[in-house]
Amino acid sequence: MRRRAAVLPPILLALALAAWPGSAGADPWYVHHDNARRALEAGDWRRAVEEINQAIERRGDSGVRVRTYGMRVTDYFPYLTLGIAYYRLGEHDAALEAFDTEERLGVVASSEAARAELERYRGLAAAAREAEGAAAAAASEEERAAAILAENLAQGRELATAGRLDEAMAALSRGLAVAPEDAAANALMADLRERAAARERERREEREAAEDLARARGLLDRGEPREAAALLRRVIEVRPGEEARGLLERAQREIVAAVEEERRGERAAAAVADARRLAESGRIDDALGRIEEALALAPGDAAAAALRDRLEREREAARAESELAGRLRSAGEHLAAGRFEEALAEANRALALERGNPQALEVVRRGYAEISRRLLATGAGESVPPAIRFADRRTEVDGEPAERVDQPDFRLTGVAIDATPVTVEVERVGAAGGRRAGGDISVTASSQPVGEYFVTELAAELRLPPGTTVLAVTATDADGLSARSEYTVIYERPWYAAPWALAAAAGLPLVALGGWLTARERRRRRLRRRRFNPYIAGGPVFDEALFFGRERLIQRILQTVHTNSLLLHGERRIGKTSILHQLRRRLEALDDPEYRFLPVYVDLQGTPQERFFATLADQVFEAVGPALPVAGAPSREPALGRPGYDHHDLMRELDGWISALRAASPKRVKLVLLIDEVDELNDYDPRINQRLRSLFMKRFAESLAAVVAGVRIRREWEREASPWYNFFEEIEVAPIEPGDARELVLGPIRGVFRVEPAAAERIVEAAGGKPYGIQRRCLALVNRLHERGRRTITLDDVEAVEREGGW
Amino acid sequence: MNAPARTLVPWVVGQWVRGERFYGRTRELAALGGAADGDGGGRRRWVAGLRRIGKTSLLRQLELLALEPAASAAAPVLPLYWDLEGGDDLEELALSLDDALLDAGRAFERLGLDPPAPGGGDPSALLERLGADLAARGASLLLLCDEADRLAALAASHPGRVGAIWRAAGGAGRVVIASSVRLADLAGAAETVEGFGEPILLGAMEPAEARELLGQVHLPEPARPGFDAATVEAIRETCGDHPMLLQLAGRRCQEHDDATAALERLAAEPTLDHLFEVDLALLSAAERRALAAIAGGSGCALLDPAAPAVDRLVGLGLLRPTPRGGFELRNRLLAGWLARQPNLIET
Repeated sequence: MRRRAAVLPPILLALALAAWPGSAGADPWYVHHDNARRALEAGDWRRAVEEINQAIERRGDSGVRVRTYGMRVTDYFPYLTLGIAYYRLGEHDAALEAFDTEERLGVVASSEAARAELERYRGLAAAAREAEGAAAAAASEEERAAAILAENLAQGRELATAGRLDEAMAALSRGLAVAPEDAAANALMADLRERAAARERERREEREAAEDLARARGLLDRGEPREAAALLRRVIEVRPGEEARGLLERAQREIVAAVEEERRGERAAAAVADARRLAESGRIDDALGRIEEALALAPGDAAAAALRDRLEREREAARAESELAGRLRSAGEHLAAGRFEEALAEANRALALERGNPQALEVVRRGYAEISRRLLATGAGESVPPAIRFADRRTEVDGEPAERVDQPDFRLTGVAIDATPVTVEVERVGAAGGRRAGGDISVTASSQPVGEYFVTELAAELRLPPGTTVLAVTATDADGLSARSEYTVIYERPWYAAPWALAAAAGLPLVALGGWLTARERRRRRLRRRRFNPYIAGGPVFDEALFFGRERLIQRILQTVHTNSLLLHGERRIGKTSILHQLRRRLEALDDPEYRFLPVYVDLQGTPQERFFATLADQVFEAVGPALPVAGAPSREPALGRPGYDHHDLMRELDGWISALRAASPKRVKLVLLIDEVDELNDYDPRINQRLRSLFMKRFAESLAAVVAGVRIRREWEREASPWYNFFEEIEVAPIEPGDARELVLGPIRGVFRVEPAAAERIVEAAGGKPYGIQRRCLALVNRLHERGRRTITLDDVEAVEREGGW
Repeated sequence: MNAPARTLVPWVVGQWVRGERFYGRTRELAALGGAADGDGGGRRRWVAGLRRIGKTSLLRQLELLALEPAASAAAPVLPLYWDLEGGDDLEELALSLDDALLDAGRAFERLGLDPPAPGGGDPSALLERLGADLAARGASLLLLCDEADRLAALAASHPGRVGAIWRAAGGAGRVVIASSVRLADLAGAAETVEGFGEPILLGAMEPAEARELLGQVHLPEPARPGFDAATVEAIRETCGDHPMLLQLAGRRCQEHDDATAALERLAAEPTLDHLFEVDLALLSAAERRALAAIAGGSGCALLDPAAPAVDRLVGLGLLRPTPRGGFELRNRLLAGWLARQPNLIET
């Protein structure tokens, strides 16, 4: 604009001069115009300007066919020429000003050529000026950018050195925004990013490690050390630290403890099994030893405890029998050796063990006869007083014979021997030897003739006071002759039977109730802390306590399986496998008076047909092998290890095993094949099915039954051509009854969690009575309670789980 | 765990029976008669019937009777039950005979005889050796062949082999084969049944036998189901004295207090559909037409009693003559099923 302003005065001056008439005659305008045109052609732009300005000074207006000299005319567009000259000189603003002036003068519009030239040059000048402006602007931007970059780069470096990475990157970002290609800024930014990423990684690892530590702590508290250990190892790998190491050690200790516990359980089970075997072979003491081992390993094992109680009862019975035999033997030896008093004492002890034992009575008779004979040797035929002999358990106490007891209820037994039946009286004797009332003593006596004598078995029952009691037994025969014997017994009252202890015990029920409630609550808390969740979803139910709603079906099978083979069919996850497992348990435990059942669970899933008979053989042997008599159970190479093992081999083995089992058992043997996933047979060659069926056509099939379970019955099975045609009795496994379904919801968590009645109903309804669906829903619901720290399953919980599909 | 209280159900459905669980068939056993005691007509006898009518049990009972001391006191018999299922293949047939010999181990022990060494792949040669061994001890063979339909295919593919087996077995003693009623129509049947004469048709049980079965009279009193006479007759009428159906119905009636309702439910069981479908497929077109005529005639029709189809249907226990000279379906369950399957009859 400044240039344009500078151009204006000469133009105005030229116009003024042109208007002055005297100037034209001396130096005419057309000469300068002509000169200017020539200068333009010669490329002398500056001279062209000068000349045209001279022309303008002399003639300012434009014109077409303007007369010059003589008759000559010319088109005169001086500003156009001036503009062109300025354009060539690069003075684009001045050029554009000149072009505008020419246009304003208006004449140029009448000359197409001139107007076109004007437009052309004006376009060129305008473009050039624009380019010029842009270049100038660009130059200005570059300068500014350089300044911004320098400032922010410096700032970025300073912040980076101070470790303020985010701020440094922010500063650098400003620099890069104006100079994105700057190498130094980019390098610094890359470095900063790397450092920031490293720092972020470090922070994330630290945060995750802290979270993992917290989770690991939680897992440990919930009794899940394996998961905790895995987590802690990850933590230590990333952020080694004392706390993590400490927790890992704790987890490892708990894992070891858990493994030990599992092993103890296994060892306990093995010990119980050993004990059973030993007991069956009559080695009761050895069996009890093994049971003690089992109980030491698993103190809560109820089965082991029950077995111990049973074995102890048996041992006690055996011991009593043995003692009786020993007493009788000893009595006999004394009698034979002429030690009649000793013989009578032993016989009396034997009678105390078994009233009326004829052998003991015989010893008594003979012993008494001998004693009597000796006594009467000088006066045969004379009557003698009865002889009293106690079942003597006295030992020497302060030089006197006395029996020590720790129970107040006491029973004294013995016999009185005489030629006639005797009457018996029993009374207490005071400390000074005086008699005391014996009204609280219950006396029984029964006489029976043994040879030429009467043996009267006597028993006195009374409640002893603490301390010493002397009992006097008087036997009087039919002749009025009597004999008297005393028996001293000392009741040593245990501390807990003392009055003060009994008084304390009066308050015990309350304490016990409180204790029970506390223990129950503790148990609940412990179970909840351990995230107790008894439901099973996915696998078969082995635990009888979790097996609901199939009792009628199981009974139906148990009533049938001795003569029939059955096919259980039903949709997937309806509980067929669980039923087979429960059947196995029930058949194993069944104490049937007529049949001995040997159930064998066989899972066909994934069994290729080539290995079918070998698999079946090995699984049958695994089940029946332990039951085979030793002589009938030679070492056997697994069928799966024998190439080409086929149904003929299986038939031979089955024939041998069943024959051996029949020979060893007084009952009818029934081997029950519980075959799961029988749908696999659908895909086998029909001949395999045919061969399997042929087993059931053999004579030993009277000792063979099958309960097979599958989803669908192959249509061909129902056809005459099928080897299985109408072979099985078919039973559909349907959803369980609503009452059983509710019990499946409530039973497993009873005492730990509560379930609102409406919630239980909804669960049953949503699951359609299918045990698997119920278990899955309950599994999710109990997990939900754990997560929320609550104790009651509500209808809202059930609906939420349904919505989430968390089951 | 305590053993649960258990009531054993005496009924057997699907598995073969013998001994105390075998009821009736007195007439058939007598007809096969001499099979067990070495007397009676013919050395080859053929029993034919529909499926699940009790053919295997009949053979097993014959085997058991032959093992009784009184049966072979004079002339010892070795009963050998041979399951021919899969016997359409020569190798498999030979192996199945080996199995049969193993299965008959006790019968051999009883005679103080070792079974012939298995193998060789030629059943007729093995049977000849066995015959020679038995003859040396003054004993004979009672060969009881089940699922004889399978041999027809073998006879068709290996002409002469089945005939050789029968000759060898016949030389050693007697042969009883059991097959479906379809055997005579199969390719290879001529050689398979050559010399066996007309088959003894195994059909419904005699009424008295059926009553014994339903009363389970072989069992001790407390173990019997204790049906009253009316229930017994209702079951018989419903099942047409078909042994498997009697067992099935007995079981259902024992499971449910209401016998009438139990029998109605039984009629709707898919098992019966399968049974009747298969039975019908085994019959000839003429026989099916005869059944269709009766089913379409409200359960009875006037048929020509001399017609072979009618004669065989009576023999198979499906029809019985009425007092007015017609015939009726013996089995109400079948009648009900036929009424629901008109198209099946026509095809």
